[in-house]
Amino acid sequence: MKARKTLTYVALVGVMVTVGVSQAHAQDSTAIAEGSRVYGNTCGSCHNARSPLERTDRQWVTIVNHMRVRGNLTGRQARAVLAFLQASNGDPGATSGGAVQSDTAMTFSNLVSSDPTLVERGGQLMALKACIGCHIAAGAGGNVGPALDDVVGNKGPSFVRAKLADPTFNNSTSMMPNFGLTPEEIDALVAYLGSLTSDGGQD
Amino acid sequence: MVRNIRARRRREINHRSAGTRTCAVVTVGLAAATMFYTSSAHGQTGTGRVVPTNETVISGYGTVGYNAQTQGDNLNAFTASVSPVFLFQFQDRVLFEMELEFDLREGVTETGLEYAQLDYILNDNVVLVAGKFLLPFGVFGPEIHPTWINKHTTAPPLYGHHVTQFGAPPLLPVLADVGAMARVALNPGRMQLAFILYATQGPSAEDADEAVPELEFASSSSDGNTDKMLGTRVDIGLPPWVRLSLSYLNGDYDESNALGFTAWNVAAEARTSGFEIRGEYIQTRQEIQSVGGVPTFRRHGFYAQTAYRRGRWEPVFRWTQIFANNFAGAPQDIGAWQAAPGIDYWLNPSIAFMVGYEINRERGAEIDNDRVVAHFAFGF
Repeated sequence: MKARKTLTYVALVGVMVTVGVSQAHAQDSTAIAEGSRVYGNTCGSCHNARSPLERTDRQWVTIVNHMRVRGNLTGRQARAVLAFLQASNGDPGATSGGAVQSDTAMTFSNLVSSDPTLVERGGQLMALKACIGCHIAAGAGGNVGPALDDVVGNKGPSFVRAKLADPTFNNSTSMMPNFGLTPEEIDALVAYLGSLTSDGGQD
Repeated sequence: MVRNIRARRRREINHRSAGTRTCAVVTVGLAAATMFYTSSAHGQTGTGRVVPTNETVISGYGTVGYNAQTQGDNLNAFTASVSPVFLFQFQDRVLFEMELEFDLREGVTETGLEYAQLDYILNDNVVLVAGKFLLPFGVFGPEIHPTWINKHTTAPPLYGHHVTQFGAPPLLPVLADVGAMARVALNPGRMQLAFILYATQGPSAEDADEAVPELEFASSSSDGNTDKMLGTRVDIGLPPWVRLSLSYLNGDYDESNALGFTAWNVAAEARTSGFEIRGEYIQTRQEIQSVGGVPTFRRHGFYAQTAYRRGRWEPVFRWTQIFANNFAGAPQDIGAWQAAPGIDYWLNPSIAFMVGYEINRERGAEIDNDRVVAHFAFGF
């Protein structure tokens, strides 16, 4: 009886290792977008999402490996989350230990620029920060967060600016990371989001 | 007749020891062969901007608070605890993790080694672990026991992690044990799958002379018998909405490898739009030495916890119940339930004020064991 139990365990270990080896080389070119989705969906299913700005790039490598073991992530998922966190934490070395930047005294403008250069810059930032990993924008994206196609019209430019500057300003446990955006980057993103139409296209 | 039984028992014991040794040797051999085979696999840190060779990070969690209860020695007292986590990364495959626990109990600072484990990242899907690790039995112990993650001021009393006013001993009095473990993670489509196998020192009897000995997991470098506890867990999830987890463990707890302890767990969780509900069912079977044979003492229980987040506020409610199926001549007749409402106020994603109230009731007893626990919980 015990021998059968032992053989069963050995067989299981063998199957586990074989399956693991066969899946070891999967790759994904959209790592940052996948990382933001995994961060919101899988990490966020156990605990509130911590801001990427809390840690430096080097620290995130170690923490992601720690959480990979704890949360049963695959290597590909862990690399994607790491890519997302490292792409989202700005330059924490220059911000005294990576403290979250939020300027609560900032007054947020209610204006939306239609400058095509600014709109284009906002679109580039959307791609760089992998916003569509969690949000639908221009008809495509994830569903962790709300759709962004009408967000400027519905919530108002000042709300969107405040949210981009500090995602926790209206919800202390928001899963959205603080990207440490500059006022110019926020203006560009608001311009881009303001250009989106509710049918998933652009004005 | 008695000699025959003893001889058969000895043969079983020898057979079990040989089986355990074979299991360990073959497992280590498989692992070594696979390490060799995959030694040229790509690095595990990949597409990020920085790939360090060595890094040390300190993380962790803690609480300060106040405890007010109607029974026990620890009436109306301030509390404080902190659990620093040290992470040592070596190149891209090896991680050493360690968590210490500092807790104030009756005027004395208690210290503990929550876990100290070496992780070897074999490839994208397999991680080998050795040392003292959190037992992957259920989800509360290995994944959500820090207060800021648990969202409640106290642990569900199925697990014997913290001081409790609950009227029944915990079903599993341990969160960690010493041994070796293989973890496999798979991500087909949007599903998240995990398979875990482990072998640890296992339980031993606190007082072998008792009719139903209370079990302890000493988590030491020595073992009370030659048998190792074997356990497994399977997770199936569709994050972030649902996850189902099945766990099983089995090991002998007496010196002669004659009395077994078996436990299994079903855990489920679901969440949507700020609302979450999770629960775990545990059943344990403990063989007992008796004149008439080896009867089994069976206990089971469950908890269900729900929370709903609205802005900074998050009310939470947990219900726990433990049952014991009695048998003729058993000295224990245990049954207890707990209702535990609470509310959290979040300052940021890992810092919250929490207040919880426990209504603790024991079958057949008229004792009021209620308590209020207020915590400032933080993860760092």
